Amino acid sequence: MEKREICALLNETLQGAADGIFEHLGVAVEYGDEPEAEVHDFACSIGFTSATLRGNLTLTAGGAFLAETRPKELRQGAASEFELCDWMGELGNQVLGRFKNRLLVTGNAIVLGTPAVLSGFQIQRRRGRMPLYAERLAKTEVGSLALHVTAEATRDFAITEREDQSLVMPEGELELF
Amino acid sequence: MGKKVIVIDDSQTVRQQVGRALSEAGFEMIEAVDGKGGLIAIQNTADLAMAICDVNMPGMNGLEMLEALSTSGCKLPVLMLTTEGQSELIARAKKWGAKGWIVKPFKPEMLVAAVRKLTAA
Repeated sequence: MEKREICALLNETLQGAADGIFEHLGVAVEYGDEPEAEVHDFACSIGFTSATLRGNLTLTAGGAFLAETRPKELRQGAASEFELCDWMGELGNQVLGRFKNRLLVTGNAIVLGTPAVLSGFQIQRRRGRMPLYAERLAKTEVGSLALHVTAEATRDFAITEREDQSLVMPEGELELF
Repeated sequence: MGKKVIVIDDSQTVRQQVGRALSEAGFEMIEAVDGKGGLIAIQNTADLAMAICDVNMPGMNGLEMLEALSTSGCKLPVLMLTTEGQSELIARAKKWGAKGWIVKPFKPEMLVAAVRKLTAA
């Protein structure tokens, strides 16, 4: 596949993952451009790899956005910095989990790392050296979340002609054995 | 006291969310933050009714913990709660004796229903 096609796939996959998360959280977001212009307080990065694709997902967000999007039952009262950091990592985990599940049905199984989270001042994500990228900026009235995927693929990277939904169990579902 | 459930997840947010749902349903919860801690807690807690376990955790992951439990002959029901939905991983969990799988994010009422069913025996 050509670089342009893989970037389109990554963008579509990232958008689908973000949409699913915010719908579940019951948070209305608007998507904007130029996520690199945003200055945030928290960041999370998770690596992923397969035989033909490797890269990472990086999220940056403001504390108000994180506080607003925590699971409903935990939103009462002010969240500590530790709790916001923890939610940043879990949010990254859930976005990348959905990203992985959407890639799986195209015949691409990636293995996920564990989240690395940091908090600080004026954190800005810059586009890295990897040739493939996808970006989204999700905004609410109180803040924003920038989502970045950067990756590189081998020449063998391909997607199946038809998506195979049997390869993955959908998010939010339960199966008892 | 309600039945005791161990929740093994490296995210405090998830442990709090699960803990809230379980306590409202009358269960008692203990916690571990990775597979190794979960394994030790399970081996040292006599009155556990079941375990809820993440897959991707630093150190020993949830599937490795499940394999270790299975190898040791432990029959504690384990419900996997994870962002992973890959059928290959689900098959591995089933092979090592897991009793169920939920793909995060989860609805608390669904989790409680599964816990009630798995602790009913």
